[in-house]
Formats: sequence, C-alpha cells, structure tokens
Amino acid sequence: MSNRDSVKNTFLVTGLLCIVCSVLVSGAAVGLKEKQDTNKELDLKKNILNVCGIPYEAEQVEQVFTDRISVRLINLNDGIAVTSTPESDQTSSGFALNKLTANEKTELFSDPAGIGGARENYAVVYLYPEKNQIILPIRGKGLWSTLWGFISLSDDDFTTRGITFFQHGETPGLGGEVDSAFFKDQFVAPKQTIGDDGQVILNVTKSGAAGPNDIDGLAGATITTQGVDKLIKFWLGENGFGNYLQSEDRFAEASPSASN
Amino acid sequence: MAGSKAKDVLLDPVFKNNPIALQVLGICSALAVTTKLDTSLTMCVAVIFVVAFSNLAVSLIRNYIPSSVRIIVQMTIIASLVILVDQVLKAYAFDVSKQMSVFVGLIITNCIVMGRAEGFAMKNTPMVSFLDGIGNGLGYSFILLTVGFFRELFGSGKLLGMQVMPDAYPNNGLMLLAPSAFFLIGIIIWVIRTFRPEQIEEA
Repeated sequence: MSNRDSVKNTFLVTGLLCIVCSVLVSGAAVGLKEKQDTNKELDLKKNILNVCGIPYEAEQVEQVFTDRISVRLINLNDGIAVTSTPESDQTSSGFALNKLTANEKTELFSDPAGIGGARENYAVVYLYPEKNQIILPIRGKGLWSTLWGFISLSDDDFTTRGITFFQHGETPGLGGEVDSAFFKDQFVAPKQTIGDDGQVILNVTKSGAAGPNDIDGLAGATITTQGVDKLIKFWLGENGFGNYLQSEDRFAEASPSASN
Repeated sequence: MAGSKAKDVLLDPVFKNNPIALQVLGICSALAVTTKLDTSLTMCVAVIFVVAFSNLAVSLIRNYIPSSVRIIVQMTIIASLVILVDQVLKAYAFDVSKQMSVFVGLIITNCIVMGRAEGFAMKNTPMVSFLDGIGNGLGYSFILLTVGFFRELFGSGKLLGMQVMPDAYPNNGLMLLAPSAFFLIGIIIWVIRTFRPEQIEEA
C-alpha cells in the first residue's frame, strides 16, 4: 500500500467512492419516492379533515376524505370553478404549484404575505357540504420559513371554523406553536373575517392584546404572529380568495365550457 | 484480546467514556430533538445506524484511503448514509420525520460520527469499528433519551404523546426550550462524575 497517497490512487479511490455513494443515494430516492408522495398526500388530507373537525381513524383517511370532502379547482382572478388549467393542463387531482407556467401566475404589486412576488391564478379549494365549510389553502412567510396551511370558513358568513399549518420551519416551542392546539382552537370558535365592505377584519394581535374578535398571537414569536396575520389578510383579501368568496357559485361544480 | 475488547468497545461509551457527557460532542442535536421522547428515540436509532455503518465502511477501506483526502472520504460516506436515513424516514415514519425536520440532515455534522470515523475506524478492524459505532450511538442515546424523558414529562406532561401528569399540572414551558437541555445534560454529567470521580478533569 505504499502508493496509496499517489495521485492516481487518490483519484481512483474518490472516484469509486462517489459512484458507490451516488448509486446508493439515488437508488433510495427513486425507490422510495412513490411511498413518500403517498405520505405527503395523506398528510394533506389529514390536515383538511382536522381543520373541518371531522374525526377519522388513521387507516380510513382516504375513505373519509372522499366521502365528505369535495374538491374544486378555481380561477383566483374571477373566482369561477374550472376543470383544468389552460397551459399546464392540470386538474384538481394532483395539482402542483410548481407545474404552473409563468402565464398562469400574476405578479404582485405588493407581497405582504411574502409568497415570492407572484401569485398563482389557479388554486384548489375544498368544500365540506355537510357543515357548509370552505377550506382554503394559505401560505406565507413567518420568521424562518414559509408556513403552509389551510383555513376553514363558514360559507354563510365567512366566520372562522378552523386553521392548520401542515408545513413550517419555525422555532420549536416559539413560532412553531402555530401548530399547537391552544392557538388553533381560537379559530374553531366563529370569528368574523370579512367586514361589510369586503375588507379582511380578522386580526392576529400581539400576545395578550387580543380583543373579543381577534386572535391572540404567540408569546415570544412576534414575527411568526405578524406573518400569520399578514397571510390571512392576503389570502382572504382581494388578491387572494376574495373574488372566489364573493362569487355566488362557490359551491358549484365546474362547467366544462368555463374551463378558460 | 478480541472477546473482551469487543465488549469494552461496545459498552465503554455508555458510561465510562460517554461521547456527550465526557467528550462533550454532539450537544447541538441533543438540544434540538429532545422536546419529545418519540423524536429522541428516532434520532437515536438514526444516529446508531449512521455511526455504526460509517465506522464499518471507513474501516473497510481504511488501508486504501489517501491521507490527503481522508476527511472528505469520511464525509461522503457519512452524508450518503444520512440521506439514506432521511429518505427511509420520509417513507416509513412521515410524522416523526416532519417533526425532526432539518435535524436528520444535521446528523452529518454531528461531531460524534465524524470523531469516531477519524479517531477510531481509521485505525481498527471493521468488526470492532462497527461495535464501537453502536456503542457510541448507545452512549449518545442514553443521554438523549434521559433528556427527552424529562423534557416531555415536565414540558408537556406527556410521555410518548400520552398524558401522564394530572390535568392540574401546569406545563413548564422552559423545559421545551433549548436551555433546559443544557441544565439536564449538566445534571447528568454531575451524576455520572459523582459515581466515577476519575472523569473529573484537573482544575
């Protein structure tokens, strides 16, 4: 082994090692992808059931979801349901933001929720007909990360019914508490979200400063709290789901003719 | 030699030469993932797997590794193993992997893994190195599980997600924050050194 420090051997060993390691890593990534995607989808469905307050057994998520929740793909610009997106040709099942083309997004003049300067023109919303609830996907910047979640509103008066954040990277114990029961429970009690003039009136305030119609923020997590406040105001406002919430046909099926 | 050495290598790191308590390595993740017992448990299994197999792999090729790039070679092996663990967790333990978020990836920078590869596996035979990896993983696990146990019990009144404290118990929020892990690790070190005074360093 006297030549183990030679240039030739160095290249040989590192080269072989890289090949072995990359085969291992890519093999695992490809082989497990399907299972991981199923997990992610299942996690999404669990979160939607949670935000509706529907009880379920862990094995029956799929079944309960199909039975009780209906899914709509909508155009955010006019609030009307469509069957598929015009360019990327996506339907409500398997809809992915990153597959949308540039033309299917709208540049934002101001971006209070911090979603990257452009908002998609199409979104998937979920309906829970038994309780007249609309479940909207929401996201926005907290302190460290983008918070992804769902908010559930009553179809009658747009009062809150629930909220959940299924993906975020906030500080555990501080901002990470957006996912805690005591914070989320405040949304289960009906609270006015949209005023008579269409403005979003729901405030997430500094911890301890909440009025009866406000959501009490998280102690020790001012920026996460402000992020939640801004993202709710954005997504329920005119640049978010405002048009959809004002449309009369919120619960209507998409008609194929209106697919553009 | 082989028989007694194997046992020493496996069990020494738990109390006698604990990687966290004596060598004070791997503290970062010991603070981060110990708010709950189930994340601590997953982290322990992940770290034992990574240390054991990185030690084994490094030891297997130790006579071929050019000394000029040995750290990079070790790093590549460790990183590959960690990605493997991360992928498996995402596929089979999705909820736990979500809670651990970045900390699985951070096993790569866990000083214990690197330290054992460079300090032990480079000089010893594969089987002994493998056992040394498991032993150090167990030592790490011992601290992590103890800390996780007390943090979950006093911080959220639960153990493995089950309520054990009476409802009247007010949860101690400090236990969920990182400093509490420092206190607990400090106390563990104190206890270990009370029983093993030879670990006390000269002032």
